Amino acid sequence: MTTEEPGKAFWLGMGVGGAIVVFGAIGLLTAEGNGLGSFIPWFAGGALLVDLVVVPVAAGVGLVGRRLVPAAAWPAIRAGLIASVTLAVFAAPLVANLGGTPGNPSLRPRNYGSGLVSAVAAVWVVALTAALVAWLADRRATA
Amino acid sequence: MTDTLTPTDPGARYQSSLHDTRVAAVLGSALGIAFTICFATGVLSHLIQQPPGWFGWPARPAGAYRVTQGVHIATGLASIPLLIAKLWVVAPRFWARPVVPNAAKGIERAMLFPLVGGGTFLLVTGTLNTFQWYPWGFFFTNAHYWASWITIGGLVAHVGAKAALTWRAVHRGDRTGGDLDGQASSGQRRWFLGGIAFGSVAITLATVGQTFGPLRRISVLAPRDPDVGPQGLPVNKTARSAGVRASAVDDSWRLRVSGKVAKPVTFTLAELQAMPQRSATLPIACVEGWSASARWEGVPLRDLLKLVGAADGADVEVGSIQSGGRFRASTVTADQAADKDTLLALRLEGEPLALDHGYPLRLIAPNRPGVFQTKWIKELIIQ
Repeated sequence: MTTEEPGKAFWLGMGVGGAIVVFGAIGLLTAEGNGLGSFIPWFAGGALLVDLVVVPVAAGVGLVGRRLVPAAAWPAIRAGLIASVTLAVFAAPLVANLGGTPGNPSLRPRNYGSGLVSAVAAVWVVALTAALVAWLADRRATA
Repeated sequence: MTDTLTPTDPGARYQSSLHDTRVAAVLGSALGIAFTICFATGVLSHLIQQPPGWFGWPARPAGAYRVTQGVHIATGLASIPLLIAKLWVVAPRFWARPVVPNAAKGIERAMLFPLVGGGTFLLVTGTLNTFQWYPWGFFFTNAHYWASWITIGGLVAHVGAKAALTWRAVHRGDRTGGDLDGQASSGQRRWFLGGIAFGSVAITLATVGQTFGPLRRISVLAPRDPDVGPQGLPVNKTARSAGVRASAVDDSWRLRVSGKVAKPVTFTLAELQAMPQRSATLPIACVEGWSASARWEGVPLRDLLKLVGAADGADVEVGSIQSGGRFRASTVTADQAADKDTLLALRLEGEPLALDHGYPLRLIAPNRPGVFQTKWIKELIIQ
C-alpha cells in the first residue's frame, strides 16, 4: 500500500479539469434545446446504472461462473460473456425495433435478431475453443 | 491516502483479485486514449458544422470527414466494454469508507461524477443516435456536445490524480508487472484484459462495415449497410420526412441564382442537363458514423458561378425547397466552391437522382458532412 499526499499534478488536474467542467456546464445551460429536466436524469442515471446494476450484476455472474466453470477455462468463458453482453446490449434497441424513422428502408436494413444470434455464436466458437485449449493445457500440466 | 488496491482495502472482500492497480491502469489508459479520440473527432465535427470565424475546413482530402466520423463512432463503440470493465475493476474503491476521508479525496471523488456520468451518457446517447432513437427531451447534438466537455473536464482531473500512479503501475520494472501477493498474476491480468479486448473487437467487427465497405457482410449489427438504399446508397433524410413532395420538383422546378450577381438568373432542369457535366466519386459521410462512396455527375459549381458572373472568392448559400428544418440550407465556402469536384449533381450511378437522394438537383462536394450535402436545391445565394 502506498500513501502519498496529492502533488502538483493532482491540483493542476483538478483546477484545469474543474474549469473545463464549468465551461461545459455553462455551455449546456445556455444551449438551445438543452431539456435539462430530461438531461439531468439521463446524465446521473448513467452513473447510477453502472454503480447499481452493471457492476453488481458483473460481480454476481463472476461469483457464480467461477464456481460452475473449471478455473482454467473460466477466463475464456468470461471473455465470451463480456463480448456477448456487449453485443446484446448494443443490439437490443435494433432487435426490439425501438425508435428509427418510418419510411426509410436504408436505416436498419437488416434482420438484427438473426444478426445478434450469429454474432454471439461466432463469439462462442472462439471463446469455447480457447476455454477447451486452456482446460486441456491445465490438465496436462497438473497430470 | 490509499492509492493502490490491496486485500486490506475495504472493498477487497470482493473476491476477484483482478481489482488491482495495474489492471485499472491499463484499462484507464486505454479509455483515456479512446475518450480523447472521441472528443477530438467530435469537437472537430462540431467546428465543421458550426464554424466560428477563425475555423476553415478544406475541401481536401475528400474523405477526411468520413474517416474522422468513422473513427469517432467506432472508437466510442469499442469503449463500451472498456468502460464497463474499468468501473467493475475500481468498484471496490467506490464503496470505500469513509466516503470523504479528506478534502483532496473529496474533490477527487466529486470530479468522478462528470467523468462516469458523462462517459456513460455519451456512449448511450451516441449509440442511440446512430439508431435514430431519441427517447429523451433534449436536442441530441447540443446535449452530446456539451456533455463531452463536462466529461473531458472530469478526465483531465482524473488524469491529474492518477497519472503518476498509472505510470508506476504500467512501468513496474519487470515486464510481467510482478506477481504481488493478493493481486492478479500476470497470466490472470492478460486473460482479463484480453477478454475485454475481445469484447471491443467483437462490437467493432459487428458494426464497422457501415463505414468500411469490405467488412459490410460481417457487420451484422451495423445500423446501416453502405450498399442498401435507393440506387444502392443509404439515405438519412427521406423526401417524406423532409416534407418534399414529388409535385414540388416537377417541370415547374427552377434553380434560382441570386445575391451578389448582376441580376438573378434561373435555370431549368434541361438547361442544367445541357451544360458540360463532370463525374466524381465522392462519399456521403454521416455524423452517425456511416459512409458510402458513389459516382455522381453534374455541373461543377464553379462553372455555374463563372457563368452567372459571380466574383471569385464568394461563399455560396445553397438552399433547399424544404420549408424549414435545421439543415434546410448550407454554406459552401469559397475554398470548397473552387474545388473541381464540388458538383450540383443531377445523376447518381448513371441515373437521374432518386427523389430521396435530392431529385432534381443536390449538392455533392468533397469532405463535407452529409447534412451539408443539401438536397432538392432550389436556390443559390452568392454571398
